[in-house]
Amino acid sequence: MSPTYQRPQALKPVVTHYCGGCGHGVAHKLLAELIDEMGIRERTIALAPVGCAVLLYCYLDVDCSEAAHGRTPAVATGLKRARPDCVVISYQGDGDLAAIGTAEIIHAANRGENFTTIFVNNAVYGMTGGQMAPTTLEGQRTATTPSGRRSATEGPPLRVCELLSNFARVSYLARTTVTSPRAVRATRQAIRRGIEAQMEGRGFSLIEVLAPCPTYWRLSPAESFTFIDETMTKTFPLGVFRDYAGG
Amino acid sequence: MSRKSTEPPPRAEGTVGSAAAKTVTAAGRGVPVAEAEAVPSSDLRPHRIPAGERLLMTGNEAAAEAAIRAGCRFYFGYPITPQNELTSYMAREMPAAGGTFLQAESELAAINMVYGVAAAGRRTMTSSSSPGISLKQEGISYLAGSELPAVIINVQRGGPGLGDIRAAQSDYFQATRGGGHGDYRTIVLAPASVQEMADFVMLAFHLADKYRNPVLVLADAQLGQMMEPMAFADLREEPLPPKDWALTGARGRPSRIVKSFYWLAGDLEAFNQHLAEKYARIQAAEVRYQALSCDDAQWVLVAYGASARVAKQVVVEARRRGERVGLFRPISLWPFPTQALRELAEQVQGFLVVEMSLGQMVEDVRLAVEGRAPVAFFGRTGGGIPTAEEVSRELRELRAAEGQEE
Amino acid sequence: MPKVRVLTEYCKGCGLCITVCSVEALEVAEELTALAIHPPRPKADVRCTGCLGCALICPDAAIEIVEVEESCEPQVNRAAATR
Repeated sequence: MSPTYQRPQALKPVVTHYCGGCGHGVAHKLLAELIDEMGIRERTIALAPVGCAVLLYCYLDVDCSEAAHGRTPAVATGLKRARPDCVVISYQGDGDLAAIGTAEIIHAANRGENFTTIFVNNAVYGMTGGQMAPTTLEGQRTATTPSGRRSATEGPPLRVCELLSNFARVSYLARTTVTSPRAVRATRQAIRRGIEAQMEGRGFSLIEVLAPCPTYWRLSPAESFTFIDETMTKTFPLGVFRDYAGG
Repeated sequence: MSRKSTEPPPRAEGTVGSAAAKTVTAAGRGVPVAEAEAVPSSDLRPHRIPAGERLLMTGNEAAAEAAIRAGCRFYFGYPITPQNELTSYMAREMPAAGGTFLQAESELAAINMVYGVAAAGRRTMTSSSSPGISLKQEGISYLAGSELPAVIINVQRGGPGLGDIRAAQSDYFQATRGGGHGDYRTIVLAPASVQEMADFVMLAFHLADKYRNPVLVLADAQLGQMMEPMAFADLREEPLPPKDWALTGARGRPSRIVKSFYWLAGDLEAFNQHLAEKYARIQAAEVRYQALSCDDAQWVLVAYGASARVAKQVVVEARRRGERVGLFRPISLWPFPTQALRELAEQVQGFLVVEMSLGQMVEDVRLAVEGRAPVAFFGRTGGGIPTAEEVSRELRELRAAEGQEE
Repeated sequence: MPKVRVLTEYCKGCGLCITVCSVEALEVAEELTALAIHPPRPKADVRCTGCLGCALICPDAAIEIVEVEESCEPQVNRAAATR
């Protein structure tokens, strides 16, 4: 029997701690598949954020480091400057990137630091019990917005791709989802484009993946997909915001 | 007359580390080329300032040049007075040396960039002044918890809060008690001259790699800004182990993880015990101090850094008058020279601790002396510098109070 | 022809593969895994089209698609049957 689709080698043979239906699982899988396909396991250094993906280094079989909450882009800057021949993948959630780490991601993007960021946006803080994230939607109930987020008091949800598309030295910027096989393929392709941009030395790349959090959205995995497709994409439109190849 | 024990390296030799130091190059050690060496041979370049040539330099610039000569090729900083000259020097000279200079968006970002380079196995440093060092505490805790080598220079200014830009020594607690969260220590070296700014920065890189620990060089605005004659030494280090933990891409080897997170019950306690053992080794091997005129002293001033310069003047003048006064100058603030002070306490009538703070190191002196002799304190704070007259007067009153005839 | 192989040790029982299958070729198995969930298994009477949808959607990389030789017999997921 020859496999036409197999579990990637770059994923360690470990059961993850992620909930069933979690978007992190898909993102890890796609990154691992690309590491296999592109043959870069021996060159890749991945960074684990603080958040549900804090244990990323238990799952990806490449050199890995933790980073303090939000500081991942700064750590990635140091790593890539020190090991420019390595492929540096910065992996962050919505709190890590868009709350506590806003300064670091903006400045890394503005400088055009040559690493690739996978930004998993599930509009909630999972690890700590379902609190509001900067990307939590208007009206969305969380542990710290029990009556629903209101722009008047919490500000509107933060759109990271739109924010970073202001910067000249961003080479690849895309927002995708994982809510269908086609969407998963598109996400994999987008992450691939980001890694290629890095390998060609073109500067900062970021892929924002709209991901489900069935546990804190209080939805089934299938219902979470519907929430993303029908509601979340209204606030966070999908698309490619910057592609160096497309100008 | 000075009694020296584990003293700072003599200038002519320029050795760092123990007396058994010898010149080491990466090629000579026979380590695998793929492994991250402590100081890659490509980083050992000739410098535009010849070793041994006497010149005038400010403390800030001397520290920067020393770092480059120690093989540091990655500097991350953020402007803050009174250490901006160090950052500016790096902006010019680090790229000229083939290294990377980056003005980070904040001190917070800078310490995390240091973390990234350290994790990748290269020598790296950052510098700041008191409020900026406060920002770095999280990052320093992570460095210690991940056992990453790095050098941090604090050119102290007055505090708390925004404070002022003049010299102070009010970050002693922050420096010597870890400073950030968790059970950890940083080695802390306290220069008292421009020469020592250079020498101790070089020593700091060596100790950081030797123990896989962050090292803090605790200076102040006066030391940073003053200009004195000095000379740079060649880098001579004891052999250091290869960095077989560094992230370099898992070529032909299992993947590595740099982390400080131990979530399984019992794992973190075991790791903390491992750190405790490391710190015990450091305490046994890396105590440094200078004892000036202490052999027959009845009264000993205890001071470090800029305060020690004033205290030294007081001692010299007192000795001229025939008074048996000495100066005990801690150089390693952590590990603190507890044992040497304890021994000194057996012979003296009392100590006078002089600091530019409300009294921080004095607590460590009292702990070391353990009541064997009185320990008095004189301090100026908030940017005030003690004068020799003030300290002499304080000493005179102390001696009178203790019934010392003169 | 393509065949679904479920790596039941990684499965979390999220059911997305069953939802996403383009020909409804997957169903919930009776067995309970070590993680105390019911994994999916291919139905005995529905042929996999090899669209890879289930494998792509799976958040736990618990589905592989393998090529097997054609046979007249209805397909059974042997891996699930022998666990």
